[in-house]
Amino acid sequence: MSTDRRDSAIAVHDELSAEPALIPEHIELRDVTRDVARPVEARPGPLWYLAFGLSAAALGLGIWVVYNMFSRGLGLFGYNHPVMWGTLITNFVFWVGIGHAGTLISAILFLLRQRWRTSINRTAEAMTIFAVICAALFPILHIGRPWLAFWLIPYPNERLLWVNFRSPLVWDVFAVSTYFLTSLMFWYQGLIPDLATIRDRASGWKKKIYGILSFGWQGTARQWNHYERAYAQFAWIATPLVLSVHSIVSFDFAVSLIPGWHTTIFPPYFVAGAIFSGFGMVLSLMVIMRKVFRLEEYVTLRHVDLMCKVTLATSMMVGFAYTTEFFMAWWSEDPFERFIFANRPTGEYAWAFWTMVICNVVIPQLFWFRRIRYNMLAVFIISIFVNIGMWFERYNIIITSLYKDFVPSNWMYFTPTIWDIALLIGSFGLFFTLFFLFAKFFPTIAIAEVKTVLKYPYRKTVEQVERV
Amino acid sequence: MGQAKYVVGLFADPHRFEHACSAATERGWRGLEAYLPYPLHGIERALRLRRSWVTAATKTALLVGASLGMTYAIWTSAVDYPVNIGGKPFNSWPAFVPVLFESGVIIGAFTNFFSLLYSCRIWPGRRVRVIDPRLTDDRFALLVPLAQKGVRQEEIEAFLREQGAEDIRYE
Repeated sequence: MSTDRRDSAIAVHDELSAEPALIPEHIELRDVTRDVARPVEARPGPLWYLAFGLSAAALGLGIWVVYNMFSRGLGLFGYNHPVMWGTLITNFVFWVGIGHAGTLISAILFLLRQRWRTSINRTAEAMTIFAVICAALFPILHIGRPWLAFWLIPYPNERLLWVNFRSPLVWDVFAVSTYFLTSLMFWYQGLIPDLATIRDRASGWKKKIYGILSFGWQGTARQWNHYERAYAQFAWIATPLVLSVHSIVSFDFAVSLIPGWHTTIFPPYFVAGAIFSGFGMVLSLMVIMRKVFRLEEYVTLRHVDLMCKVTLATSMMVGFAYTTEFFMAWWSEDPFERFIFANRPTGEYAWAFWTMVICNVVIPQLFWFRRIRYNMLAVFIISIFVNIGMWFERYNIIITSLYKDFVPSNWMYFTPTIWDIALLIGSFGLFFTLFFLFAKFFPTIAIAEVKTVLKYPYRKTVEQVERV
Repeated sequence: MGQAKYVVGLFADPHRFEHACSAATERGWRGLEAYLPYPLHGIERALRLRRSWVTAATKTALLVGASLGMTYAIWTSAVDYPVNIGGKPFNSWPAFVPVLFESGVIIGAFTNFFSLLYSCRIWPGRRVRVIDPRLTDDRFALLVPLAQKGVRQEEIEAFLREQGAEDIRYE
């Protein structure tokens, strides 16, 4: 063996040893394949059936609510005169936000060369897609005549009218559908080589199905060459996209003239909140999944630790945005603006405001402690608080800005009805039904990508080199 | 099965495999093929692969999509059926920027995905001959075409063995 080769192998080895191993060093290439393919190949346990059954039941409840809404109208929900946007829009913003962590992990962390993303990107991207599906349903239900939703699409029609391209609601249609399709293609691209791995391990009809799903991938050097370019391109496209989507969602509010909505801080505030809530959901799912599927060696405590740190950082950004809103209301000297912001922490909806602040700003501060970040039960509980808090953030923004109108005789308290709550449960049902199907039938960790961050091939090479 | 076209060397060690690829290229052998379970950085250099054209296609599509989106918004709002909305100018282009952006992204994303499928020649239902199921797991393969000018089969075999191939096959 030449000296050059020996030196380069050692250089690579040293570079990789500089940072601690992401995946335990004893893991070899074939271990990754075996461990990730195990849940796909094995029969699901009783726990999976239980979880899937509960989710499907919740989904059934949601379908029943939608059926009732179609036959009886929007009056089922708690809408009243000033509060014309109720929990349906709250749910919409909540679900779109959840999706953002997936794209952050798959695209932004890719561009930032954060190698720890490889263990979590697949699941986070799947979460994005399912969350966007949930989100997309709500504005359609909310318009009251969902069968006319296609009017939002700008196509030449018999009515001879075009959509109003100046309306943030039309921007939403563009943003959310683009987001969904782009995330779906990005996710599927990553899946193709891994589905080929599953295909090559399977037999019988499973081999056929995974053969079709993997598009006949062989993993030739030429294919990988194109694949890597396309992957990087997706990352470059998805990065501004993810920032744009929640910015556009925030325009639904910021472009209006309602006090409490009409603020320029909304786009960055919404994007930070979206990433925060998304990481909350990723943590809730990952902490459970790594246990149930025995993937602790791939989604290690260090991965969870890093995710907690992102959550903490975004929590503080959100807290900063809350404070800025109050400052700007005072600074603006606008009586309506000042009234709304004085009303939020002290008025009838103070409970919603303080739930939001405690869950989003106070509780995540526990992530400053290493002990907490390495305690999976604590992480799980905090992540649930984050999910609750972020739902209430949107509830707080929408309801408290609307219920006290410019005309005091219009004021009316908004209470969600049992149908509002049932539809929210239904959307969780849809999300988790899709998620459990994904977890059963697809590799939940990007097999090929994890293989690129293993230390084992390098370690082995150096041993061989030294023997020569 | 017809006559074998390739000598296949199976490798377990990514580095020796990469080295074998560059050594074979340096010998001037043509039509080399390599199979890998995961993208190995440096393999494109070892095999002297050209930079993928997918990037250029996607970037062009992004720009085309963005201009189409903007043109469409301006044409519908200011030319085909102008409607006075809140006293804004018919061509209120700053309000069309989100549409411009999202149109660019969606056209770019579709182009990217379908360019990938085209450049890799993959599609749903494509039938493949799997040389070894471990090639998507933990083995690497270098395929050297038998039809090399002035090179005998034994020579290729000896080369692959010397490079550390753990198994030699004919495909």
